[in-house]
Amino acid sequence: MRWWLAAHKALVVLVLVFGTSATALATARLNLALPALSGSMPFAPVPLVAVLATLATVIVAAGLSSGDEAIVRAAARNAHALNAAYLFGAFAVVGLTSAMALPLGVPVEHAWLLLRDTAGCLALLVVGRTLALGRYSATVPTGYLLASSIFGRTSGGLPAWWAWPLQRGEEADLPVLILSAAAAVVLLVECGRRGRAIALGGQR
Amino acid sequence: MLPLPSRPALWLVFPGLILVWVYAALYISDAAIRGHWVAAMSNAALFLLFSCGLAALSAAIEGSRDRSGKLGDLAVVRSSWHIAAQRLWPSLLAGATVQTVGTLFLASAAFGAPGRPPWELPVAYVAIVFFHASLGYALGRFLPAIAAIPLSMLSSYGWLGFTWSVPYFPLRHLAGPALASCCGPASELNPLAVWAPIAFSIPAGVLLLALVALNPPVGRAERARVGRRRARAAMAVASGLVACLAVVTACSLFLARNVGAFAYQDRPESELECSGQRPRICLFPEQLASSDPRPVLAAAFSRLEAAGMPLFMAVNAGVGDSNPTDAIAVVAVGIRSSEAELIHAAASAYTAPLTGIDCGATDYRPWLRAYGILSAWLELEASKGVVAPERVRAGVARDTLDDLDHLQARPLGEQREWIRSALESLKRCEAVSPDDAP
Repeated sequence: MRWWLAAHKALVVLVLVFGTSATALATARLNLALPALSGSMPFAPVPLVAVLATLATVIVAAGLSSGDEAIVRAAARNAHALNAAYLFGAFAVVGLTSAMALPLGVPVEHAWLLLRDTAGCLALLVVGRTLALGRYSATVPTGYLLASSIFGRTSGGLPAWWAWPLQRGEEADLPVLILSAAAAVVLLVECGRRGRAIALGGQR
Repeated sequence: MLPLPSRPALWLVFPGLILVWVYAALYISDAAIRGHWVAAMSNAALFLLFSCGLAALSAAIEGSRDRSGKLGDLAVVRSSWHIAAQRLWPSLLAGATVQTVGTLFLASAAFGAPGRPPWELPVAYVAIVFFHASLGYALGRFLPAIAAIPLSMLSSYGWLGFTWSVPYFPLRHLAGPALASCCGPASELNPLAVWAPIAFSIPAGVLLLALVALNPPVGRAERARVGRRRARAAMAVASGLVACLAVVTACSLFLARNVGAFAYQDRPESELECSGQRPRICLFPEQLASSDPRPVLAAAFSRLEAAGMPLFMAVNAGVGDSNPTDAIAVVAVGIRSSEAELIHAAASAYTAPLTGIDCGATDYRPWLRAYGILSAWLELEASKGVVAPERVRAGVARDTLDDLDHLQARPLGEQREWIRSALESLKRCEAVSPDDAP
């Protein structure tokens, strides 16, 4: 287990995710101007929290893929369960950072925004991994962020229902929750399949 | 030579071109760039968002291929610069192609305009694309592909977008899209706003490539492989390169320190072409290229003089400020303006001293009400016999129209007196009602 954590650079990823989350909470009021092809403005203000949540997801993706894939596939352990635990662990670090920031005066809405965006980005990373995109899997959350910025506005200039990275209000909670729940189900199914395969291998 | 179909740039160039075309169709107003070389070509700076993203993404994929092929660990015959050039040229070419096509697309609106196309703008664009390609390649070589590819997109868009979000202006001129703020007919590109991104992008790109060529042994295993002495020397050189990058950034920021929020400055008055006497009207060659608007302006000012307004002796096209005391008017004349727009510009010359006036914490509503009546009355007088009064009234708010009718019900002499006194009162932040006696 210790080898698995070291091979997947768990400590480095933990520190980087903590740093990114802390920066996101400190700069939660800021927006980043990204290009937009919908709405009424050539630039769309994208909350910096969403950009930093995407960055944290890219870091987690790099950590997850840093082990030797051939060894991981041949391992007797349930590697899918370990990967799922890795993802939940990263999310827990973000949750812990948010909880620690609350007594320091960070508003609950900002903490929730970070948690929501991280959950959405990690769910999209699971989608990328499930589609076996390999080294391009982390481009799914990044591409979604950029697609939201470019196409995610209505003609009135408001964020579209699906462009949750642009939204700060509660209206984006439901799409992210559905996405996260779907990703959690995918992870559990993968864990179950792998566990059954190992059990069958053991019987033989 | 690597096979072309395997180069990502080839596949990314087509979506890049489509995005540029859609962006141009949606956001770039033909009226703002028609007949003006600098305006047309500087608006193409917005396309950097696509050309730079494309170049960075493509170069990151190339760099990650080199990294996964352990290119830095192998003893190769070709020089590091040769390898980097072989890897980078398709990304650079694809980014430059997207940017050039977008620039030519907009420049076509300026064909036949007086003056020369500003050649320094395409140079700046290619320099900026080169920096993003180098950044993407460096990310691809130093980071695992799974992180380098999305980070290349985030860092490219982030750098271009971030610079718009910070209130420190020199930074935005290093990135490039700020060039799109240039120019109206009465302004020109600030040369520092063009040279600052060139001065930053080329040396910064070269330094990033030098860092890649050096391939500093960052990890413990790499340091052990190359030997402690060589590793220390390589790290010292790498630190020097990073320090040079900081110096280049600081020097470029210093170069752009006086540019301000926008990339333009006033054109010299020596470029104005003047004609007429009372008033003497001076416009820039672009404003005169399609048809001469000076007779229309002169006639509008004459009608306003006949309506009792003081005559301006000199009328300039957007250089300096209007000063009725010195009989100088500044009019905002576009390129290929319609008669109605020219008459509006002439009428606005009288109300220009009221624009942006600061009356403290007073209630602005009565002031704005009087201002509305004044503007509408001036425009109606200036357009008499040229533009139908219904057309002018169509652009006036309903409340203001009622007040205007109320004023116009008075004898002409009283109307003129009221207008003159309203102009003076509004300058002193005193509101007047149409019921007030002149």
